[in-house]
Amino acid sequence: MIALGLTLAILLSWVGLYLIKSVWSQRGSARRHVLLAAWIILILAHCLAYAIYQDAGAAICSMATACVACFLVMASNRAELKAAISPEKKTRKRTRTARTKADPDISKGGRFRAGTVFLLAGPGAIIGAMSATLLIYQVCAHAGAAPADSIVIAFFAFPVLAAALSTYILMGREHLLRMTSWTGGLMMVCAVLISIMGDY
Amino acid sequence: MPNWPKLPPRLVQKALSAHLLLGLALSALLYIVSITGVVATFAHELRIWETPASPVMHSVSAEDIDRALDNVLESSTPLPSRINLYLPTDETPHFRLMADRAEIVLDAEGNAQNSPQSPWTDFVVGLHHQLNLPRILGLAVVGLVGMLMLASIMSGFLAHPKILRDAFIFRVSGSKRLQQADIHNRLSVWTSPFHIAIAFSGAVLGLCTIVAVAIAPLEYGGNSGAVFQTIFGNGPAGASSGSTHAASQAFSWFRSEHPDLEPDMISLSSPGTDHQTIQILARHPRRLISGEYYYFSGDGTFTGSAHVSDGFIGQQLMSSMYRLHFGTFGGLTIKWIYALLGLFLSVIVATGMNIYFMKRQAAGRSAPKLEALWASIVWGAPASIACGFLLEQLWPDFGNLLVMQFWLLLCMISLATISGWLARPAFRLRLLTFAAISVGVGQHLAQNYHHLGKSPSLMTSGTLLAVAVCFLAPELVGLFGRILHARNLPDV
Repeated sequence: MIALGLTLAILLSWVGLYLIKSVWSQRGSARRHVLLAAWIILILAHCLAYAIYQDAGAAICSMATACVACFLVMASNRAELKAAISPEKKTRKRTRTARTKADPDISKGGRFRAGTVFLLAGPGAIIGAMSATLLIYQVCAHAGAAPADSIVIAFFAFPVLAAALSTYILMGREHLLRMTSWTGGLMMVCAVLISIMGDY
Repeated sequence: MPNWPKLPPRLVQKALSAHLLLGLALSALLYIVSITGVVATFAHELRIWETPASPVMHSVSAEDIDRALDNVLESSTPLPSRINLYLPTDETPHFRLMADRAEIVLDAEGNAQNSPQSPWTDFVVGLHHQLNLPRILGLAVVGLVGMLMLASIMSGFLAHPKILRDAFIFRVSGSKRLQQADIHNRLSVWTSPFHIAIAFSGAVLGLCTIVAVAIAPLEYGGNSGAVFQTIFGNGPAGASSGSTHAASQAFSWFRSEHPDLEPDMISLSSPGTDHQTIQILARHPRRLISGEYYYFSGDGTFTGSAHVSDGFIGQQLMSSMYRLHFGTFGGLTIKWIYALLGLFLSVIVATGMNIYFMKRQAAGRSAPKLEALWASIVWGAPASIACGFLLEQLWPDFGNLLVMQFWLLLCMISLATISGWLARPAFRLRLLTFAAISVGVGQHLAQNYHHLGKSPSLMTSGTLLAVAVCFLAPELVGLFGRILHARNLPDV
């Protein structure tokens, strides 16, 4: 039941993420509604997971990660998001060109200033690493490792994974959308596996 | 020599970009954590120095323990729920007793005194451990700093594929930017094993609570305390009635059974009641673990141990993290090595930011205000810590205001530097640091001249004065240079 609930929630999340990605190239104000709908689907999906799997860290983690992942995906293209909300594309383009000329940081590092990227990528990396850590813990526990060893492996794995993931995301910051999608995907897969392993 | 590892230029560029980003986001916090870490390495020595009037004891007997416990229980109503006896060790030659939150220190005759406080050392250690934030939040933030430092090391290595070829290059006579880059890169490479160990152990110590909270719902019914109990033991079983003299019996038994181990602490839970239990934390010489917990029932009968020293490898590894991080495993020599390598970390952080500002300047995008802010942090943080030290020496009650004083003064220095009100900030702040430490040490010596016979106190005073002089090193080197130059001038 728990696994089923979480899997359902995760599948709904994937649908949400897919919708966000698929509407990326579309134009027009309709995009705004699709984005909002996708966002709501994501939140609802994870509220469902939480309701079914109330006292489990996996569900809470899954919900939080999906929200952050969704936020990252949406915010990873700030200008596009702005365009989705405001129809004045021409003004936006001119502004961006002017800003790119004025501040080479923007053109070099994609579309964002360092602080923005960091604030966006940091939580994603940390929560993604936590999902992977919980999965590692479950794998160790199910493989017959001593409880103390499983816990300490998790303690050690988390900072290393978080460091690696944050480096990975920051290295690909001009493709932040792709990077965060991958991270979001990793979180989802981990959450499903944790849930299934927790059941059996 | 060919570059190793061979990395695609695009990957190197990306890694450099990530390294820069991490540096920008992390530098100020990492710098504060690293300089306070250097001071925290000598926390034991500084605490002894700050409390010269504290009675010194090098060992205790079972009778001392009985006397101390009787002393406390006679004067306590209601009975404390927990009593911890901290036994004297080589590092801390004091016999302290903590009943719930009240702390006393005992002399050789068993007389109790209010435990002398070491607020400045506690403040610096608190700043390093948790940035003066609430405990769990602070530990998590500092743990994240450790984690991001690990990420910074990873991206730094990826960003420098010529790391082996350039391992011995140091261009003293090059441009200032090259000099800074060489200092940054060489120090980073040669000290990387230490920095990886420090960043990793710091991140594990800081973030383990968060991971425990996430693991707890999976198998421990949401109780994160139970996660830690799996590693460090459940505590003594077999609660029974017993007098507090059972603690001295347990101590005597332990001494006779394990003469090679050094007991650090005796802990009584529910002392003097029907649910009394006792545990002894003992240090194992030549082991990195913090210690082993030995359990006793209420009447002082040995019931088992937590098996931290001989249990699962995970228990032993986790128990080793603290001493690995703080370098408290090899006496003063290791502490000095740790302090030096920690100081290098501060230099690496500072030069990294200097390179960034120089690059910006070369590209015609100088950021003078940001640069001034950075300078105010680099020299303002030690100056604020030193001013706290001085104020605490002048007014002992100032200890409660140290946290506020540090952050307030740091903000004021930053504002003064950014606004241009504080000209030549680096020199003036170094001078302030020098003056604050020197006057603080002078004040301490004047107040405690009758304790000057204690050699550790004198050594610490001397070291602090030497540190103060180091802050004026650039000026002193310049002065020497000018004197030598003047002497070499031909007579006219």
